[in-house]
Amino acid sequence: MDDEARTIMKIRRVSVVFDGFQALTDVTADIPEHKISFFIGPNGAGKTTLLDIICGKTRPTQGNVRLCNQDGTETILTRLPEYKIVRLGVARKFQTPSVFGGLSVMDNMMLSLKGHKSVREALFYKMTEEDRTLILDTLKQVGMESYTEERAGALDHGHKQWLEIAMLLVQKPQIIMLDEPAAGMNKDETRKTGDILLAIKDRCTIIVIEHDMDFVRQIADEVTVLHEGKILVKGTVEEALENKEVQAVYLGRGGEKDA
Amino acid sequence: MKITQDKTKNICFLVIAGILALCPVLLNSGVISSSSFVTYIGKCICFCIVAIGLDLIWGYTGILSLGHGLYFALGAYGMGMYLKLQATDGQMTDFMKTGGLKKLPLIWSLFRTLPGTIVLILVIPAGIAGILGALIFRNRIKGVYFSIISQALTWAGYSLFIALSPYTNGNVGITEIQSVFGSIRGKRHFSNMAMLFYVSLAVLIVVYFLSEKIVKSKFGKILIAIRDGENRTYFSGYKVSAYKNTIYVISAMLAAVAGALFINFNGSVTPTQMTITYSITMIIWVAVGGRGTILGPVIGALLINLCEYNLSSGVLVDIWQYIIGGLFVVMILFFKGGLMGILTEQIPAAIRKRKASKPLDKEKQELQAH
Amino acid sequence: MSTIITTMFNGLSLSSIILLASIGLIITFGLMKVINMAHGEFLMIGAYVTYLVQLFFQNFLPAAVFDLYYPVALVVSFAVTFLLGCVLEKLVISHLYGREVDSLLATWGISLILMQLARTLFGTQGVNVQAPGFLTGGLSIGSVTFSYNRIFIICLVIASLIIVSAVLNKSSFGKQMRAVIDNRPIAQSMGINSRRIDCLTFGFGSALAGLAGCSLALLGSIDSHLGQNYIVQCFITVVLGGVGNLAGVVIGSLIVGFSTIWVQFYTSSNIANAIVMVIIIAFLQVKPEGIFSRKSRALDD
Repeated sequence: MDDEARTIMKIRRVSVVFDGFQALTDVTADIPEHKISFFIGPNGAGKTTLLDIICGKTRPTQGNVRLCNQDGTETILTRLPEYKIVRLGVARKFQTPSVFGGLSVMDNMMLSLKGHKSVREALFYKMTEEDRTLILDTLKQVGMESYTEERAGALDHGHKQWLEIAMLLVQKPQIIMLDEPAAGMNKDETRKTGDILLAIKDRCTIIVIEHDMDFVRQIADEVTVLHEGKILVKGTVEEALENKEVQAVYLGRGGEKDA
Repeated sequence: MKITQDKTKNICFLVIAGILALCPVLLNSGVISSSSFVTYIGKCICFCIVAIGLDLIWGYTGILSLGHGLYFALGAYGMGMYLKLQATDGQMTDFMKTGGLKKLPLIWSLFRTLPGTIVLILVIPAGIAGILGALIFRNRIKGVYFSIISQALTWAGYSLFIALSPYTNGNVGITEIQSVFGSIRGKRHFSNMAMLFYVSLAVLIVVYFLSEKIVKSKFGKILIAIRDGENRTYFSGYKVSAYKNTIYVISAMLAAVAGALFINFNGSVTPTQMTITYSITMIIWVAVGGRGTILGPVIGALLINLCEYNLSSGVLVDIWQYIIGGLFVVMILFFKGGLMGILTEQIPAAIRKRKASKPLDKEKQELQAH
Repeated sequence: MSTIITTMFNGLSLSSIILLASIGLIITFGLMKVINMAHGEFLMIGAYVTYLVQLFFQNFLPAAVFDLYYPVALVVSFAVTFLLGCVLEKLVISHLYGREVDSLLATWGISLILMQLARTLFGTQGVNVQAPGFLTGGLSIGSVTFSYNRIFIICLVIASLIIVSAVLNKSSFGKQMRAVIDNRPIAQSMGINSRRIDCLTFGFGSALAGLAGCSLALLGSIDSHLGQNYIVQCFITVVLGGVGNLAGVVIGSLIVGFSTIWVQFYTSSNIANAIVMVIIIAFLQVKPEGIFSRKSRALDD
């Protein structure tokens, strides 16, 4: 694994306990900038919990997550409320598409723009040409520039997912985290999603949780395997999948995961 | 499509406002014979205002307050205290003397002037709503828990106002007052009544268009986003509690304004305006009219209260309760969008479905012919 | 000294009344997550049924068996409200699972209808029930009198708690109920008729309200507003105790009952209600999940 990439996020000794259940134990990882890093593993391994910790939905019982800023300083994310983490440029896409169904695609994008988040600004906000151009360009990247007036709730599953990715992209985030983006998509849609991510990775850093191995092979730069809340292996796709322990964990669970 | 919908809505509202504006004129010219009917319409205008306030928090933001009667009543009591002091010329009232008070309570003396009263009518409910909102929304208490707490609060207010009878005249409430323009009873005082009526109507029109502006702005879209996906809104970088708090305070102030106008028409206010039943009745207006539309609540408030006026005598009073109860249940179960929803979504959808199935029938006929 | 004992007893009595009225709510609100705003009206129905049974005994049966009306009334109230609960579930509630706010509103509509029904059938004046002989009067210890009907209510509450706890935890119906509430698809795939269980569960919760109403009949006059007097306290008590928690509601009702009586001692009943509500709301700011809560992984529940 090449290590010229700057580390943009440090996960240090994160443990999470829910009511006696140990979801994550002592997880430590460095996320390299401008790369696509995958977290894979059987269900219940703690992958979603890890994303929850990073974006602030859950607090770790131990450990912390730090964002490495351009100027060399570090910001401890695990102390901040969600909306502040978002404003720092850490964006998350949830497993089930969660767009604002009652609003149009254009409105969904408008709400996702950076800035103007306070109540007062929101009352008097008027969309500038610059904002409109940015929104349309971002929609173009996911192939949805003609969908602006559609009601988001009326879109099909694939388009909802891409809208959500567009909503993340328009924030020009530093880090995008995706939880099973290929879920519910057919082969073509999955491939298109992969192409979108490959096209944007030089502008940000991407963390993905996924089960679909074709998708992993298509775009992953590095893969970390989680099992029962602990890191099993980290490396390239081949290294991870050829690892004996990883195979045992997957086979022990009943066979191949990429169905 | 969307723009024409908005324009149509606004035109509908202006038509309704126009019809309302005609009422005093019709009374004066004898077409409408009962001045109490026009007074009742005046009360309905106040109901429209509080209904719009409720729509802002419930229809757009998803906050179901079952205790807005509290703010409505506070506005009414505030104005009532001013009007009562006008009637007693700044002296103590009878119920204070009966209650054993030695002089005019401090809180009452704040309501000696009209400007002071107007300020307090806005500030006190806003303050209570602000504190409640700050606590509750910060703790992410939502959904039904908020509704239950809002109920409990209004019930507490109701109990308090009954208990503090030297200050509030308990169950009887504030009575024997004239409106801010003087008495509005009968043909003699028609000009007072007309002034009051048009002032209230003007307030309604301002409130309507202001609310429309709010919901069309980015702020309004965020409210809808909060309603549809609160977590997603957090993760889009918005401090949801600040938005909820803001709109809740605005809605409380609207209810208070409505209450302050209401007491002018009603001539009295009692703790009944603070009950849960009263508060939920307001919700019924919004639900029947169509939540999340600003126009719907206006229609709902007018329609239901007009029906109630017509069915207010004799045997029909009892039936009315069944009708309104049943209507409410049916609306919640099958017509979540209320009347507006039926007109703008369900009927067009049904028509589209019928149109879509027609070509298939034709194809079937052609196939059978072969 | 005697004032303290009387106050304590009154506190216990009020707590037991609130608890009795709230037990049914634990099942419908706590377990099924259905907000039944008509719960108060089931209390009212139980009370009116008691009145009717009493009338029947008074007019059609010899005076010697008059006192038996009460046990009969308990059974009949339970049965009637159980059936009504099932009907309500089939007609309205079953459409509203998962839609908590809507169930709140729709049942309010039902509540309006039921209240009006009471007024149509019984008029707006309150009716009174004559307590059976074995419940009139009180137990006198020294200078303190404990009225029998209040003692009876306390016993009834304890008995109800034991029965409900037994049904929930030991009976097969209780197990099926909890299975359906926990994980409906799995329960269905194991052959449990979830629709029927829903109906019976809701009926059971409503029947407990009917039972409570039967006891409330002993305490004062019955009119269409009987339910409204209790509904707010009941819901707040359930929320305070931690929704879905039997022990929590017991503690909650003890807190509400005792603090109301205690504050009432210094002020009046209305102010006491107001102050206690405000205190509870304040407490819920500090601990929104109530006294006993189940920590879950979900952010919102």
